[in-house]
Amino acid sequence: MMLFAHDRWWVRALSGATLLFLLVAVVVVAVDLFGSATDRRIATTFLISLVVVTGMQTYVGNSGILSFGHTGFMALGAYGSALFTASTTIKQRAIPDAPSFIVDAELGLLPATLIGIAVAMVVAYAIGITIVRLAGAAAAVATLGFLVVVFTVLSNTDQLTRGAKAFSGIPPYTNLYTGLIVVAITFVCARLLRDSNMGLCLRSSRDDELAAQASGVNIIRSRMVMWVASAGLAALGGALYAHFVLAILPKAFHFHMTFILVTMVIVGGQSISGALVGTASITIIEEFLRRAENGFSIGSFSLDELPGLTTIILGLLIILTMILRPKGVLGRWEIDELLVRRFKKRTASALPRPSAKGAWTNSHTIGEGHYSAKSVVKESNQP
Amino acid sequence: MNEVVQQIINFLSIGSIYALIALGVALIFSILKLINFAHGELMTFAGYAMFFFHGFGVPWLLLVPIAILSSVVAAVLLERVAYRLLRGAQPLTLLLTSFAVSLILQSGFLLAFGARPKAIEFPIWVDAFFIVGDIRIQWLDIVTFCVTMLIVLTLTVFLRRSITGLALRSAASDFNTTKLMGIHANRVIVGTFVVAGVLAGLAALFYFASTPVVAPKSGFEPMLKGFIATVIGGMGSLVGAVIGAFLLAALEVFVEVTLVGSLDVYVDAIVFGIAVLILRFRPAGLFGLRRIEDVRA
Amino acid sequence: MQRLSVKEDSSGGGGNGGTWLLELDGLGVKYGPIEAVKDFSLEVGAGEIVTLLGSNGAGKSSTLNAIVGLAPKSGGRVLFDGQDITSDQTDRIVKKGITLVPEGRRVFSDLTVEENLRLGGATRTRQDFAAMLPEIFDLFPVLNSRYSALAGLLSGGEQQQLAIGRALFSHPKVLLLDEPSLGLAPIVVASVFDIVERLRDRGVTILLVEQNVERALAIADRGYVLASGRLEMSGGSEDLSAAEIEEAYLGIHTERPS
Repeated sequence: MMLFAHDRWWVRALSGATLLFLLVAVVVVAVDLFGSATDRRIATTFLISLVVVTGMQTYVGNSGILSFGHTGFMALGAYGSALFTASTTIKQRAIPDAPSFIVDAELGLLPATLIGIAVAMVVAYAIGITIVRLAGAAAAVATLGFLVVVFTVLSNTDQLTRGAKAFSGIPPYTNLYTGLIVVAITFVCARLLRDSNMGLCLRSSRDDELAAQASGVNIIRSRMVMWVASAGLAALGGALYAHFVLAILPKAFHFHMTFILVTMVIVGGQSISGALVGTASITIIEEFLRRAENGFSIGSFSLDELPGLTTIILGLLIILTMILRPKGVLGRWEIDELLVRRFKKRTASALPRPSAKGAWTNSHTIGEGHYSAKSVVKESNQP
Repeated sequence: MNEVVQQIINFLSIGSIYALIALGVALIFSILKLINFAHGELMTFAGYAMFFFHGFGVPWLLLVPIAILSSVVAAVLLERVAYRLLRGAQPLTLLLTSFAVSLILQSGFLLAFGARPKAIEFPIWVDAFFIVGDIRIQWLDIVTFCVTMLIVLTLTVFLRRSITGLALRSAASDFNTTKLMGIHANRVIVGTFVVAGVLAGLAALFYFASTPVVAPKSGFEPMLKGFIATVIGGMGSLVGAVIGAFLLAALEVFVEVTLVGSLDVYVDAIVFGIAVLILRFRPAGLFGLRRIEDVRA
Repeated sequence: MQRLSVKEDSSGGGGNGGTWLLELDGLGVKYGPIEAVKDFSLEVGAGEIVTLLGSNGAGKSSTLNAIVGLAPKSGGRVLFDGQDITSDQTDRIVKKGITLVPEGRRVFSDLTVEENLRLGGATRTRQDFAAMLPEIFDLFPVLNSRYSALAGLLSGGEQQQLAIGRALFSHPKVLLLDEPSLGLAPIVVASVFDIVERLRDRGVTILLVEQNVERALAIADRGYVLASGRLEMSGGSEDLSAAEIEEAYLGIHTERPS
């Protein structure tokens, strides 16, 4: 508890990230020890989604601007890592016309993933020059357009990606434990970005577009940093994905995946803990629905295949979230911040100082500039 | 020279369809700050309605009002069932809701009609053409353009002369003060959706006449084009939406003509790149000037 | 808090023998957890000018907005001509005869003067609008000369005239004016108050929210003073001294001798 309310922001950030990671790790290790092969598979998918969703949240959660484009970055990470790790013999057969530095390369996981991330970040920077200046509807449309462009380019660049066909022969590097390591890296990056001064300014601006524009350059620059970083994290998740499914095709990184990922982002809330909650709940629901969708029978009762059922239910879930908790289940809070608030409130209520504004003044008493700025966010969160 | 004229006609026809879509999107956005992802599904719905009623042997002349009516009904239902629950919510909340609604409808179409595209059999006269000099001109292109211009004109008159039209325009800038004029919020909002429904129905009619198959996801691509046109023109500006639509169509036709051979699959990517470039210099779109009162507030 | 007795026989025709035209009974306004107005009662008699005074954030605008149904009411009742309109929607309230000219004028700046006025008469027929127009032009000649100009291009004073003129087209029995003199040049302010008086002379009952205490009290029959959402004082305008109100402005809560 002391660490979560520590004076230095990075201590708070790192301890918060550690808490979240431990939560994930405990569950994953338990699945590895006691679960079936299917359970392990689901857990791995969960970790991959968690990385991408946390990456998306780094932009969406901090800026308050939705992006449909992150699946595109995920695809870039996946293809980047896949193309540089696959063996030369496979590539000579599958993509003989590709440039020789790709065909001849047989890199390890780390350098290949870094290439994928770098490509995604460079692309993110290039389109970011426009994207970070857009908000609301325009940003949504522009990122959706970007997604379509990535899809069209990947499925037509036959000599590099085999076009619409699957690129297979990717080395199987992803398992529960590589997944956990990547999640740890992602949490630390995302949380440090979120709690840094830049993240703080961005978050306090997200409700007030006019204020955001008034403060001008800084907001745009902060958005850019978050945008590029979040693209990198999505690409990291993409690489993890590629080495898990072993065969990738452009269609896998299109609307369906975008829809699932965006649902996870929305349902959880605009924080990293929110990403965790959203990813976990949607993974479970989706798995359950997938089974229902393929048709099942209980006794004499059997259900025909119901294509699209998952989408309908997840869609209804989004609408329900929007009606009941438009800011997602956890709103803007990290779990550790909620714990601290709870703790502070309890100590505060022990004191004979009943005040309508108690909850707000409390966070000021922690001292340090970061928290007082946060209380501004909290106030705007109230109504 | 003939090639040029042919392409200009092509551009006018595509631009008209985009304009009809973009107008509907912009209208709803200007008043409700809602970017209606389900606008494409209104078109798909009209497409299925045409397919369905044609199967019953309903004559073609009747299918036109049926197509329009079906998307109007769908639009009004959409507002009643989904969007009304979230009236006055944050734009991001509205955006996500419409995104979900759009996907739910797509899946609904999938459940109801299956994934396989259904062919809509248009009568042969849709393909009728006439020849001027060496140029073969399709009547459909001419009709599309003329009807669109007529609709733009009607809409302009409606928005300038009728009280409901005036209320739509005033609600776009200040909803509360519009209520103070004694105008019921529903009159404005339902009115908006009715007009958007008419626009979507007409767009569907022309779109499916040139691409005569309907599938659950048919509406997505034209919707995205309409969105991009709206964003280029400036979110919420009706004039901007029409100009953005024709600009987008011009870009498409131009890029398609200029690109050679295997590169033509990248038309959308290149057009999108140019659109992004425009937004780089005008983030609010070409006509998305900041309102005076926004600056003052 | 102390209430001075209401002068029943004040010049504007006063309290109408117990039945008021507009009556607030324990009104509360709440935005989420924030209480803007608490347990506020106010009465306006037919033909009166009643002014509602107070500092920024005192809850004056919230009160007006709550009357016309634009702000959420958390308690109390609003009675119009004895009829309970507490839960009516804005458009019904306007049709019944209460219209608000909102703070900051709120003309539709990208519509023309004509279009603004026609929206003001949205609840009326076209003939009614045509019949009313000369009367409005008589009151506000500038609207005639700038009939087809965009409202956003008018000066602040002209916009205020447009906002009031627009409101008159709905034939209000009670006109709520929210700081009509705000942001106007001193000479224009004088003309705005002049207009308010002329409207009263034409039989329109007026509830006027103002920060310009002196001028408001000069034309009003009675006044109410709000501070932090609560009624601080009320009474006939000649009984309300600028000094007392200043005290409310400054927020000094001392017991006053009666």
